[in-house]
Amino acid sequence: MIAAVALVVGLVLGVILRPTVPIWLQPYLPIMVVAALDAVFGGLRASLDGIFDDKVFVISFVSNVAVAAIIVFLGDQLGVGGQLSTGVVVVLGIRIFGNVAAIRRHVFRA
Amino acid sequence: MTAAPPAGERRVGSGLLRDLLEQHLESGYLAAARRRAEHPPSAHRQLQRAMRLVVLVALGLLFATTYVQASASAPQAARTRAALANDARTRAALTDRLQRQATAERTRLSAQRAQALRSTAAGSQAAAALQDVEGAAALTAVAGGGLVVTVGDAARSNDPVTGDPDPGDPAAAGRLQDRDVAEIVNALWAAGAEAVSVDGQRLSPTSTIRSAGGAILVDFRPVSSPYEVRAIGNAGLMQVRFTDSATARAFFSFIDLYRITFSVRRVSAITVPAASGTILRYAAPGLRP
Repeated sequence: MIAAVALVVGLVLGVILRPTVPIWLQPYLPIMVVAALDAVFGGLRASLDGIFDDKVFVISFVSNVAVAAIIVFLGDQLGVGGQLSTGVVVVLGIRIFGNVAAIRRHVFRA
Repeated sequence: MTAAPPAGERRVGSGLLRDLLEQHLESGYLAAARRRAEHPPSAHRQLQRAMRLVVLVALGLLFATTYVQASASAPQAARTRAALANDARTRAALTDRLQRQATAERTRLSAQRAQALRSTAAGSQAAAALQDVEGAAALTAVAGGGLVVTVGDAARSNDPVTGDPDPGDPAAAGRLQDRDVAEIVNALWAAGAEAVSVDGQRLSPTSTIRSAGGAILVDFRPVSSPYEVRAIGNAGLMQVRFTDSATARAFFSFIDLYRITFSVRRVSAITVPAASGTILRYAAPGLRP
């Protein structure tokens, strides 16, 4: 419950404050969002499984977002940014789907 | 959800893919759960819970920022394009208005001049000569019988996926170029036309027919297919001479060859407007007496 409130607070803050993103970071925002989604669904599923752990959640979120951005940044420098971001999206997408499927089983028992 | 096999059973490569496809949960959660079962909860629980909330706020911030960024940058390009198009339309309307004004002033001027010259015999002779010269210089609108030549691009098929014109389409060859229009105009002059207009743009002795990008410009104003070329003169004679010209015969054969449209009509009464943008090259405003 408190987690959802924190999330909404962040959303509202972002809409109200409209933080300016440095121009060099802008291309990495979408991939960072996908990585963050992976961490969120992982945490949600873990809490439904009853094994949620704050430390793992925090570290998985920070490292997911950072690694996704770094991989795409490296790819951009090497000239394979598009392919690498596709790779990141595929891997994270599979994980998100798997976790959402597990959450669905928990919630609907189906 | 199957648990990950013990490390010993894993094979390199296939294990990586199997992990990806079967083990979606961050393995850290399982490890943490095992650790918790063995040891009592750590002393930093309050701090960790606070960190979780901080991360969730950061997450919301990230989502909102990305959304704001994406929604702000996408319409920016569209807004710029709309503003530019609007600018162009405004300027076109302005030049049209100024053009009409100039034409009205010129009509008033020539009426007053004719009135002033009519008083003497030499004056009325000069007035008649002036009228002929002005007609030839395309400074006045002309009405009379003549020919209307309509020529248009071949209908093009568009790429079904992108909607863009299909470059492999044979009709690409049926796209008229500036020199096609210029050739028809020249043939009409040769057939005895006294005044010619293309899509309502009167051609003066210094007019140009050029292309820029995909568009054909007559005196730097774009015209579009189908192009209507009006020629005023002795209609019967012009029709015979023009339809017999090499240019007209070539275009009649292009109807079948390239699927362009081409027609020549003889009309008893048409008008062509005065030319736009006549520049005085030598005359300068004088001092009032």
